[in-house]
Amino acid sequence: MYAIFNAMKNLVRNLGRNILLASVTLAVIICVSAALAIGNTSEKMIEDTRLQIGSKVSISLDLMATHEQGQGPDNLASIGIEDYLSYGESDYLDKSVFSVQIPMYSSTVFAVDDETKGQKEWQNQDGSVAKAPTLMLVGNSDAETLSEFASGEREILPGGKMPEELNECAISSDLAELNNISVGDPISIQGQSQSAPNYELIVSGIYSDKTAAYASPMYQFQGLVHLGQRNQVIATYDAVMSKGYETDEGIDFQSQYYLKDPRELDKFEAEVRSKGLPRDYSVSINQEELDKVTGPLAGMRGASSTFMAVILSLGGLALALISYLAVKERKYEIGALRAMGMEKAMISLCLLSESVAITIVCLALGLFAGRAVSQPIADSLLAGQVSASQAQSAGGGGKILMANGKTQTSGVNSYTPISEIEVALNAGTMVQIAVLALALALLSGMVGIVSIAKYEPLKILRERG
Amino acid sequence: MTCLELKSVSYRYGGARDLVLDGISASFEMGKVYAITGESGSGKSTLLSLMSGLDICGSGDILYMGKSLRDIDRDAYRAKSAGVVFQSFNLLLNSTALYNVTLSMGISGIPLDSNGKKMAAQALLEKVGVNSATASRKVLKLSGGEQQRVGIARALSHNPDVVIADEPTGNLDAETESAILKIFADVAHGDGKCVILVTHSESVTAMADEVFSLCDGKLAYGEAKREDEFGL
Ligand SMILES: Nc1ncnc2c1ncn2[C@@H]1O[C@H](COP(=O)(O)OP(=O)(O)OP(=O)(O)O)[C@@H](O)[C@H]1O
Ligand SMILES: [Mg+2]
Repeated sequence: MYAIFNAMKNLVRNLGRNILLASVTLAVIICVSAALAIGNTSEKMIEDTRLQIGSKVSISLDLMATHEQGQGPDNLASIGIEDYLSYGESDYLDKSVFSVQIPMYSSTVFAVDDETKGQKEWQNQDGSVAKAPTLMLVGNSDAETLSEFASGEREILPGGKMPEELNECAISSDLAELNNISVGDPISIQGQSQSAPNYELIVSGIYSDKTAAYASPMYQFQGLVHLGQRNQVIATYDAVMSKGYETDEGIDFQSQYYLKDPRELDKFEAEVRSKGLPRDYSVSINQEELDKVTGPLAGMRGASSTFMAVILSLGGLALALISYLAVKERKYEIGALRAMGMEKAMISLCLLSESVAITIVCLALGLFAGRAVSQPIADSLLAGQVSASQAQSAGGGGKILMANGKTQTSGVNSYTPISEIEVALNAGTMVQIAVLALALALLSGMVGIVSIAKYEPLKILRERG
Repeated sequence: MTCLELKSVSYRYGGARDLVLDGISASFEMGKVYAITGESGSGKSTLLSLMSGLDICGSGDILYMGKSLRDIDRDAYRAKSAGVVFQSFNLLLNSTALYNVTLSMGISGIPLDSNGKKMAAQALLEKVGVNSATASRKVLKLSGGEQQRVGIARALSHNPDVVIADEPTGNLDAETESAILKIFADVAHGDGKCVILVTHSESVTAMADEVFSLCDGKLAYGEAKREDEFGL
């Protein structure tokens, strides 16, 4: 007890040296706190995002695989809508979302941007000539996932509501104004071919639309007005599918499955394979999206751990050097204590408690300061990472129009990387910082202890004499 | 009762050719004051460092209460059983005189609380002629004679069985010297401890119960003198 007390008194006695030690320790702790806070927060955000995106599973035709097997487009195995629905009945899933888009034509509702007023014709795949589609009937089994409504880009105007019944639909205010349609009015739209079903719908809601009018300016240029955002007719999934489609022939059917636990992807795949999903189809998460969204965070996590490694090794080296010199300088003091009968172990303990005490003070200050500097550092680091990743992926992207009039999302620009981070210094991180700081204290204490171990009291005292 | 016993003690410094101490035997009793004289460089400090357990003799043996210093815990021996006044004092320069004494008490494990230690240390310092104002100054700022007396107080602070002092009065005036010698005499004759003093001083040899002289690595036994009238 008296010895530890002595050690604490020594802190004040050798103020100059201890302030030097404390400054280095403090600098290291601030840097380590900031780096760990940033690294751990990025890690957590990456993990959260991975759970989010990684739980979104798609089942799609694997064109690469079928190409490798030398299969032409004619003998591809096909799966029906029933199959997609049955895959959704799985204990591994939280929910499944099905969406469908069908190009439509109407002789009474004119499309926005359609200069031909519905008079344009085109040739279908079977060779028959039909009116070109001008509208797009959209059905989605989970209204929440209509992301434009979720994000506020689209908003139902007062007096209307989202479609709920089988005969209801919502349209954009542009389309409504062009055709002088108001809530409660009926509209009639029909499929492209003669045999395609017609829909008689009541407008239940009109929405304002701030989304880009076309996913690609090419569509407008080519007069593909049914791909225009303003020309969508939004109904419920059940309403669209009520006409009894059995395959995705002529319609753009998409399914999205949400796993309860992203780690169970393999089990879910095994299950759908056992339900008969052909090898030509892949069951996968959107790795590209995941990488794109978390890219800047991963970059920042890497940068912060490199930074921390550098700081820890340089700081450790500096502390070791200072304490080596300090013990050399204190040789005589140690000799005198040894001559008074203080044991080596006790002196070691004193040296250790001195450096631990300094570290604890620095830890308290360093945690605060580290927390304060980590947010601005993280902001500028992340901004750098985001602009780097955008520069990398500039050009390309968007939707690709396929032969059958469907569209497919492709390219990299459609995913927005995470560009905001709120750095947190949680208990776990603080414990990590404390452990690292104490390890540093032990390191510098140990350097002292190892160097006193070789001092015999008499030698030290004689050297001085 | 024999306190310390030297048995054919020899010592050579690492790298040196000649023995500093060459087969020394002697025995030191409780209740007596011993003086060891000898020319400068004759090996007096070396002998004391062996007796105080700071070093181990090359050959031969030193026994404390019948046990070899080789075998016992020499840290504990220095902390509790021996009180050493070094030729160069070896005080903690950055601490106060008072703290040097209380720290030594702490290391010895003397059963006093910190206040008790302070009081006892203060009294002891007072006894060797260091007043409380001086005692609260850093050792660094004390004169040689003051430092020497702090060293003496520290050596006596834990009531050791054997007091070993290397020229303890070397820096003191005659008056202070005789006061200090009286304290050493009290410790030996009153408390029954063993006091071993290295000295060049006539007055020290005069008050000692036994005198040895160190020459050419041998310890010669001087004639026993008992100055009963000295200082009593
Ligand atoms: N560390 C050392 N290494 C080598 N030789 C040493 C060492 N210390 C002392 N000596 C030598 O040992 C001899 C005895 O030294 P010591 O200090 O014991 O003498 P002393 O009798 O105490 O002298 P003084 O009266 O001057 O204090 C001397 O010749 C000295 O040079
Ligand atoms: Mg000497």
